[in-house]
Amino acid sequence: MGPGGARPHLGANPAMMRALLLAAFSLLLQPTGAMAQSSQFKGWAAVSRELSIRLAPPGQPFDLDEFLPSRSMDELLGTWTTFGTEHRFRNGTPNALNMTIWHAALSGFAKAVGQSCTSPRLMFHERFLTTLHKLCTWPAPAAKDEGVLLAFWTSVMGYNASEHEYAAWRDFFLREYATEPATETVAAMTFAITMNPSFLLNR
Amino acid sequence: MAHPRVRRAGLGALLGALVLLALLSLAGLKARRGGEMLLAPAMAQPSASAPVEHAGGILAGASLWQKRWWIDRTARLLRGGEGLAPEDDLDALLPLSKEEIARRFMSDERFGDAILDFNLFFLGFKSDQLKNGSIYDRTVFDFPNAVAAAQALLKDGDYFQLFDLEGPFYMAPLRSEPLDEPPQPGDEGLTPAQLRSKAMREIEAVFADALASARARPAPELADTCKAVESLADSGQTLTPQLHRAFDDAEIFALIRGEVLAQPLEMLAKVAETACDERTAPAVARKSLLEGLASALAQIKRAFAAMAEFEPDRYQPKSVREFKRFALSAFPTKQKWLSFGFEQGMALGNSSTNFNRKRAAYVLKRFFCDDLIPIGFESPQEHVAGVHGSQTSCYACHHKLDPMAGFFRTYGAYFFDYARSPDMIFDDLASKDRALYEAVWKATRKLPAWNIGYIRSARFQSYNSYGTSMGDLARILRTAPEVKRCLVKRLHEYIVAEDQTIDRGYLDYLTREFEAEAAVNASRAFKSTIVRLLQSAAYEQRDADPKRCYDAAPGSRPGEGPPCRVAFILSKNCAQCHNAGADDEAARLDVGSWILAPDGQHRIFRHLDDRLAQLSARDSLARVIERLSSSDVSVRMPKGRVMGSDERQELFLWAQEELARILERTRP
Amino acid sequence: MQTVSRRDVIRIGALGAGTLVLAGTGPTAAADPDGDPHFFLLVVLDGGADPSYMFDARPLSMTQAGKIQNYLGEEPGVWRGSNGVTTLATRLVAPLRPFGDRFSVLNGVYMTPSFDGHLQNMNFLFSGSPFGGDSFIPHLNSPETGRPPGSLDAVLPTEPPFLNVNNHSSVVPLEPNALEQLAQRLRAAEPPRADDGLGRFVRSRIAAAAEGEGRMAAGARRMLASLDQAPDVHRKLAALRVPDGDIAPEPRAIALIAECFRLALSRSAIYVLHEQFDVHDADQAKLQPKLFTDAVARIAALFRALVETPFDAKRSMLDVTTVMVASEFGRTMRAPEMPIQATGTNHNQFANSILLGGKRIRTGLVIGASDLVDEEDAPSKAHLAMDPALEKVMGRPIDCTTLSVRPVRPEAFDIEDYLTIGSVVNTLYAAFCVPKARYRSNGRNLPAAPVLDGLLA
Repeated sequence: MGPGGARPHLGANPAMMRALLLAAFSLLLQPTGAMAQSSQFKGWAAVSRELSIRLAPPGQPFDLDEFLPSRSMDELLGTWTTFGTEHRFRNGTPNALNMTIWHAALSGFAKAVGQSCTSPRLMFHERFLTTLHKLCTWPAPAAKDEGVLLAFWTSVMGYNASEHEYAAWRDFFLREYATEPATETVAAMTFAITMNPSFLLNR
Repeated sequence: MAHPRVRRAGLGALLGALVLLALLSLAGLKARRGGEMLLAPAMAQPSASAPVEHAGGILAGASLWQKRWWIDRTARLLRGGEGLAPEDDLDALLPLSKEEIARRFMSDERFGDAILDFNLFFLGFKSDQLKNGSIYDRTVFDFPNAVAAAQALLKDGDYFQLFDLEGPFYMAPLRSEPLDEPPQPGDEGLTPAQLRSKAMREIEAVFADALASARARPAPELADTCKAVESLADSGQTLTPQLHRAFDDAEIFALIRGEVLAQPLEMLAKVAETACDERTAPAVARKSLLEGLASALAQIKRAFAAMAEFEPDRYQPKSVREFKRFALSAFPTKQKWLSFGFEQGMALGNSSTNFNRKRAAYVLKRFFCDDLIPIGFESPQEHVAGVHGSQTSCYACHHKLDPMAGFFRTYGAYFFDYARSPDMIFDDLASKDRALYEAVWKATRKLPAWNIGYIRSARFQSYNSYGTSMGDLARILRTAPEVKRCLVKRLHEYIVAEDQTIDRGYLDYLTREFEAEAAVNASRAFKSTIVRLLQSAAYEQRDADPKRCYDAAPGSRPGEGPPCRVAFILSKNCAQCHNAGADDEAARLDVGSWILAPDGQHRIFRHLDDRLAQLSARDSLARVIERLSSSDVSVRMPKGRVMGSDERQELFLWAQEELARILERTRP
Repeated sequence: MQTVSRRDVIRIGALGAGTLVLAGTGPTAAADPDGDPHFFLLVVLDGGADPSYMFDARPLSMTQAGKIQNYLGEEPGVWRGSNGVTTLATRLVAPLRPFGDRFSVLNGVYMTPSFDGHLQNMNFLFSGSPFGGDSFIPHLNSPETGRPPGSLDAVLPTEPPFLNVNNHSSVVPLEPNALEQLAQRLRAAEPPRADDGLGRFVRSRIAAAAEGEGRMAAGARRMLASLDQAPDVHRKLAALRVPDGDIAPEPRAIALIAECFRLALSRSAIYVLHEQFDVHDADQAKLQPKLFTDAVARIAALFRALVETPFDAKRSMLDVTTVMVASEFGRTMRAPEMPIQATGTNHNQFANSILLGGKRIRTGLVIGASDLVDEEDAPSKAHLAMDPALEKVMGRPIDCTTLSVRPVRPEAFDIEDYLTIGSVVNTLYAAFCVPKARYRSNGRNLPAAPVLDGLLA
């Protein structure tokens, strides 16, 4: 019994033999890849709502669908919504396709935020605009102020991530984008935040 | 945002067909494990209500980042997905305790959305968002018990309306977007509201014209009036699509359930049958016909007027509080309004062969957290009759499933109630004689007369909750301890994570507290449970291990035995007999112990054989498995007691997995 | 009464309307032109298709004796396999005759003996458990087959079937209409880059999150693995060429699938026919001649498209694809208490019919059979034990080594006597070199269901 041929020594008790066989068989049946035990993407709707709450004026949420590479692709990013059957969260497990879509969509969004340094693409909340305007003076020292960077980070990320993540992000941009133009830097900053697991994944 | 669009054409015709069949039949066509368990009632004894813990300052000792994270996460949870915004004064929140913060968020208007979202999650129909911008998605209105309970919670009312399966109807604002189908000739260019108005006026006109003709001077011949009324009564096949063309599927569903056309036409058919009988005196007949026509017209007008209140330019709720109940008395139907709406009608179809088991499985899964998936399912080799009587694998499900299904025995396609009809039509469009169909649930014993209810034990009837109607089922849901426990469990899943292991002892503690408080006020109890969960260790984890129990019931000592869940099941079901202090053979197994096995590698219970020698871990577990799964009553454990099937299954699984691990490790 | 398809109301999105077709300049170059490409196409007849209208028909005498409904009203003909075995087939299968040497017919296949529900049997088809579990589709794409996996396990150009499986995260609906726009946008966008500073930084933060023990870390690990594949998927999707013009749904779907296979975007594809096969109602059952005319035409169109669509310069799609056509179960002969001339049918999980063809399959065979071949045929005791009311035909015992029906009438039902979906799936596993550890058994404590070696080319 079993791959190694081990035989349990239980005398002639068939019930116990059955129990052992069951147990061995159940081991073989353990599903590999515990998908239910892995965090999933929050979904496009949740991400859009988060960004709107933090960045958009009150009562004027963003319509971020323009950044999706294709209509109805939002369902491939994690969704509860369906019709005609009990609902369960679908398509939220990271795979190559939804990572590609997230990447494309968030690149577009990040670009729009960066471009807002010169010509506003999105209607932003006053407070975020203030932060953005300061950041858009990059690489001027005022843009690199800790307060400005932290404000930008918490505006986009919220408080989803740890301080360590913020520090890594800040240090990276202060180092690698020290002299880069503002539009590109702001876009890259936004992109780096939104591609972080703390932003995209459910707890 | 893409939304699934339901093709309209099929449902209107389908439901129209159902109405017709119902009409035709009404118009006078003659024809059509063993020994399972009770969660011991004593388990649910309420303790003295404990005050919700005050944690002092939030997350005392935690970093500022952690605190802000907790607040943001909690805001998002309690404000319908809306976390901290620039307007929120975070600094003002930081000094407050967790409970204070939570209760502050719970006083926000958006908390209604959070509760509605949870209620939909509990019912199995959660969506990504309740609103598009500020407009509620129309599917949200389809779950009246979810809405009613959310509204009640906001007023500290009866939150357990969530369990009421008959009750109000919250009509959604009528459609403002054009229907998918191209307009019919003569309807081109009309807005949805105009088309609705046109269709309703047309239908009213048909009845009004008939009435006017019957009232004409000089009076028409009685025979002509009879013919006109009979013709009108028989015109459902024409009038139904004429009316329905202006509405979408969800609206048609309401029109049909409300019997807006069906009831007046049925009434007219009955009036005509009596009045036009040659034995009826002409004056009486004429009066009866006129009154019938007037009544039918009044019914229709009343229904249409009530629906007009929901035109989108007159009704567009901005919060859950503003959801408005439809005046059901305006609908001609005498039937109570079921909480199972249009989408549930589609999702929980009742075919001619499944005997409502899908609906029963839904209730058991959603309200009792019993998804009936058996452990180690073994396909029976013999046909059903013998199997269900004795084999665990089928009986474990069906002894619960079939009686629960009985509550739905008169409900056919789309939960249409056929209680007054000799025939039933199912979602697969097959039909059956209703009396024969219902007989499946007739009991062979005297009491109860019907084998319908929530069954905890196949042997001890007194442990079961019987009933026959939806009202009875709702009563059972309101009073069953399993349902409250399930509600708390789902709340944990919603707040913490769906796949997060919860110590059963901790869950029972939360449930006990909830039940004690709910005895006074269900809404406040629910809010307090939310606060407890927000204060849990599991909720605070940024990267929780789903298999770990982070919280335990007060007074328990984790880490000194088998997994938390298993330990609780053992203490509840087995330890009364199998403990070190027992003075009979049962003492040979002490499930409260956890010692090193003779091989020095594994840990196991103290478990002695006939010679009072400690069994190996392998042998001990094999015996446990055998005792749990045996159908031989002389062997099966626990003896003389009922054990919850979910607990039996969990214990069985754990033992099986442990044994498999031991075998794997000891393989050469 | 106007009969309607209830499932019409739950169809979401266009079924195959506006799908992709190759541009006229020729097929996209296959990702590995010199390799041994092997793909899988599962065509699902969703709802329980009645085999008696296709390859497991019955004589009219049986209908005249009141045993089985037959709204076609014609004697079936003989469908002869190249192995000398015959079955009765209706004229409705005529469109499939040109492809008769491209598939084999398997009759009398057992699904789950204990449940006759749609969901349970669809679960059983995919996962081997009526309650759901791990689907076999991703196993065909596993590296353990020795073949580089496709970026995705499978694509679905139609609405998916209802089922509960754990491992379909890479079985992805790719609605053809949406793909057109996707391809355009991706062509204009940069794929994820790992070679620039920002790309490396993003990756490093995902990697950092992946180091933990919890749920988030597990999700981050998946993100990391997926991000590694994303550039490849991006390029492949951007390379998908969307045609102009109106083409029928089936060739469009095959063209889309062909692109996905060529680009190694996916190992498998699932195409679902959501016809009204579930004919409990007599009026719907009466429509089956038309229903199967349409359904078989669509299946034939799929086969034709597989034959005519090139995979590369040397091979057609059918040359590189194993094809399976299956429903979740068959149907009863009639419904009880309904007159034979006006009866619907219910579910029959004891005699399913499956078509299997394409790469690595010996085609042109007829394998297996169901019992109660005519009104005189008496059931075995095993049959009576499982179906005392004799509503169903059941598969006959089979020798899985010789693929011959055994001329025995078992006294008791033993699943190991019969041709099961477990054997069919294990045969697919063998064709795709999936390790035996994955093989299905026919029951607890039973060995793996036998591979139909005689069906493998």
